This record gives sequence, structure tokens and C-alpha cells, in this order.
Amino acid sequence: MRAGSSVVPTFVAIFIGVGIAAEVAGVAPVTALLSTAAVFAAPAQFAMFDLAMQDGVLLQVISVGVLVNLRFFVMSLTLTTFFSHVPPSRMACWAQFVSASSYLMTFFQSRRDERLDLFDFYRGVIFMTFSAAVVGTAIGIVIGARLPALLAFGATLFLPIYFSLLLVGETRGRREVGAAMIGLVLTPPLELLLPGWGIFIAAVGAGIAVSVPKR
Amino acid sequence: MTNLEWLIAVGGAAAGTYVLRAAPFLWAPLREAGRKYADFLSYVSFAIAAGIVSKAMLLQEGRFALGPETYIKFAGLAVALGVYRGTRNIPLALFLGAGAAVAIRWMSGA
Repeated sequence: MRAGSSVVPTFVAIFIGVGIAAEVAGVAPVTALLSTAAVFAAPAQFAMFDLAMQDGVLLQVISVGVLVNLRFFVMSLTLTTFFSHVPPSRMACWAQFVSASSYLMTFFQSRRDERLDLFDFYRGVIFMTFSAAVVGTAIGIVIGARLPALLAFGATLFLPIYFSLLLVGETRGRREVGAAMIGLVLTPPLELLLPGWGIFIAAVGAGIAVSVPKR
Repeated sequence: MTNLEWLIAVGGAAAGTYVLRAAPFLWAPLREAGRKYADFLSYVSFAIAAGIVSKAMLLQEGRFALGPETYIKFAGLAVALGVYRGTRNIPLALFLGAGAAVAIRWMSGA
């Protein structure tokens, strides 16, 4: 939970945005909270609210919500290697909370020498991030766009700074540095070309680029 | 969209997303694939973390944002990395970095 608390401000800030976007799109407060609890993926929720405002039909809204979340498949695939001791029936519940933060923080934790059950670590991160997401959405619904700009600015910095520190501390060897550099450089332009897909495409491309010479 | 339609949309997106999240844990061949491609997936993980950083630092509302706010973000990041280099303390570096960026923005009025 201590590790998860590092990204709580960013989660609250991002989901305040979700709450505001839901209000603007005319989503009922309970449904907006339900979307955070059930979908738990801010980019997908933003995309759904945005599409609905552009007169998207129901099936389109559902499709965009799912497609934006394709990255979770790769994240869960990676987490299976850390949770091999956890029965699948137990993971059926906890898989719902796979997010970029719970996945990356567990991944970086796996590279440390500390004797710590990674599944317990993952659940601790989830407890903090999921609570922050629900609270953030509620705040967004209640206060709307009245959040002080300086506070919102500061809160959004926690996630990128935190992942920068993890990268600096944990990246070892040419291939890992190469993958990180490719992700760093290619993600922004790819995000501009294909909004919502840039991180995923750049990351898979980086993985292929640094893996192929090995074979 | 009506509230009922929104409930259906949320339910549909949640169900589809759950399948993406849970399938690798619940379907044995996918778990095997995870083990087989563990190295590849670890490289993807580094790239995702790096991508989240560069996207947050350089893009704003879907556009490149290279104004004063971006420079302040980089200043905050530099402070965090400097503190981390000196102390190896992530929470301290995180809060001092973000705090420095907020202080700079407040003082500059950007």
C-alpha cells in the first residue's frame, strides 16, 4: 500500500477528469461512478464519453471502450509470470484491477531482491489506486471544473515522475535501456497519429526491436 | 444517450475489458505463452513505463505542448532525479520533484 500511495495523487487527479467528463457528457453520477468501478480505465472512459458526445451509437461506445483497453491483455500476460502460484479461480476476481500502475509497480517490484509476495504487493497497490479512482471520480462529479489549476498540475506530475524514478533505478543492460528509449521517443508521435494506441504500439515495437537480435 | 443506454455501454465495456484482463490468468495456453515470452514482455514493460513518462511530459490534450508548463515539468523531473541520485529515496524525490514544479509554476505565474 505504501508503494501504491505514491501514485494516489495522480489517480485522484486523472479520475477527477473522468468525473468532469462524465458530467459534461450527461452521464448520471451513479453511472459515472459505476463506470470507474467496472471499467477502471480512465483512457477508455474518456473515449466513451467523448464518442457519446459526438453522437456515437451504443455499439460504437462499447467497442471503443474495449479496444482502448487492449493493452491490458499484454499487461495481464506479463503478470501471469509473477502470479503462477495463485489459483486461477482467485485471479478471476483480482484480474479486474489490472491497470498500468498495478502492473508496472508489480513488475518493478519483481526486479528487487526484497522477499515479498508479489501478489500481496499487487493487492496493496490496487487497494490504493482503486480507492483513489473512485474518490477522484466522485470529486470530479461534485466540484466539476472548479479544481484549482495549480493543484491539478501538481497532481498530474506524480505518475510520470514516479515511473521516471523507477526506470532510472531499475533499468539494466543494453536491451532494457534500448526498450525504454524506444518507448520514450516513439510514444508521443504515435499518440498523435493514433490517439490512445501510441503507448501500446511503441511498447510492442520496442519489445520486438530489442528481442529480435537476441534470437 | 439515456441512462439505460449508458448502463448497457458501461456493462458492455466492462465485460469486454474484463475478458482482456482475465483471459491470460484463466486460460492455460496463455499462461504458458506468458512464460515463454517473459523476456519480450519485460522489454514491453520498460517501454510502456517510458511511454507513460514521455506522453505525460510532452503531450497535453492530444497535442505537443512545448510551452512554459512543459519546461516546468522537466525542471520538476530534474529535481526529482537529482534528489534520487543523492538519496536513493523514491518518496522523497517524488514529493520534492512535484513540489518544486508546483512552486516554480506558482512563482512564475505560468
